[in-house]
Amino acid sequence: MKNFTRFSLLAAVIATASTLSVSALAATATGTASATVLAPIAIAAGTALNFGTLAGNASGGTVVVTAAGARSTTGTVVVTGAAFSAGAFTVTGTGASTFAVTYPGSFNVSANAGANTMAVVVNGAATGTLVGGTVSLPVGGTLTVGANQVAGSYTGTYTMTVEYN
Amino acid sequence: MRGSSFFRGSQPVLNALAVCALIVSVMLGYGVNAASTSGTASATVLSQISSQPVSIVSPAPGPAPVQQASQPVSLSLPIRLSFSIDQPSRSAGGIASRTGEGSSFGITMIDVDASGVARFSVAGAGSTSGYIVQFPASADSLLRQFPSAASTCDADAASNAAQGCKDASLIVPAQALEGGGRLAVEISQALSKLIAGELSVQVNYN
Repeated sequence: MKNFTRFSLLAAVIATASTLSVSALAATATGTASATVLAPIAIAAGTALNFGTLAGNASGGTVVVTAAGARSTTGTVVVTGAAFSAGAFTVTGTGASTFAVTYPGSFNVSANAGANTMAVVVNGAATGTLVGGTVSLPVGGTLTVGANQVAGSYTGTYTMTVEYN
Repeated sequence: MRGSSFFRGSQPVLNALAVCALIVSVMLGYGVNAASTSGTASATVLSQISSQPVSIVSPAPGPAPVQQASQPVSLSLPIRLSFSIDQPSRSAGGIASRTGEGSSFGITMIDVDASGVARFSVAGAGSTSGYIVQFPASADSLLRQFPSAASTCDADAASNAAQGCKDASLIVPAQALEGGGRLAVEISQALSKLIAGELSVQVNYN
């Protein structure tokens, strides 16, 4: 009888300890996971970068069109009153996201079936911010005119890249 | 146990699926994060004909003493400018050179009237949408007279003031060709401070 009592007491202690250990060693809570999927960023060409009409001469120089649309010259290059314009692209994406702009290195515009070239360097803002998912990205450039640059209508293409920050 | 065996047996498959998902996510990520496009740049360079060095001579009657270069000229209008013209040939025939007034092709001085208005006749290509008359001259002679002159020279720069700007340019708006393929260029500002020996004319045209 005495042994039975001791066994019962031991069993009760073990059962209690087991119950207490379950509640002490485990717990549960609810966590939250989230993700934002951005609309793909895109860029589309708009206005062409146009340096206008200029006169070749014996020593050459440069024609600079800023992203704001102002034009100036260096050296002895002379420009006419013919139309000129800064380039423009349209960037689209998500909301008010910011993006980085990658400009090409120097590239050539050419005329007369590629026989004559002039170098162009495009420049503008390094970053941009979308407004309501879209923004215009103006670009300027510097055109290097050689000495006795051969007459012609010079054109060329360049690649612009934008990337979400 | 059965479930555990299933996952163990499917491990290669799961690995392959994970790799595919990673590749797809990378591809989609690139497409989402960056984009490129091509823009166009353009410029038009005009053809040109230009004059040889110019001398300013006194008007008729009588012998016309040629002014010495670099000597300021006190002009008693009207004046007459004479010059020769080099015309870069568009054909394989080389460069043709013509001299003086009355050239059938090139720049011809018509006259300078009593108020100092100089008129040139320019015979160029069959179509002309723009041209430039360029007067390499001193800063004093042109830049300060023609506020509207577009020039690559800075009249106030010390270097130009010292040596004279040789590339002063007066931009003349595009005009239609007149009869016979000749184009009249009228310099409406008075040429009152010309320096002998420094005036020449360059015409660029489409």
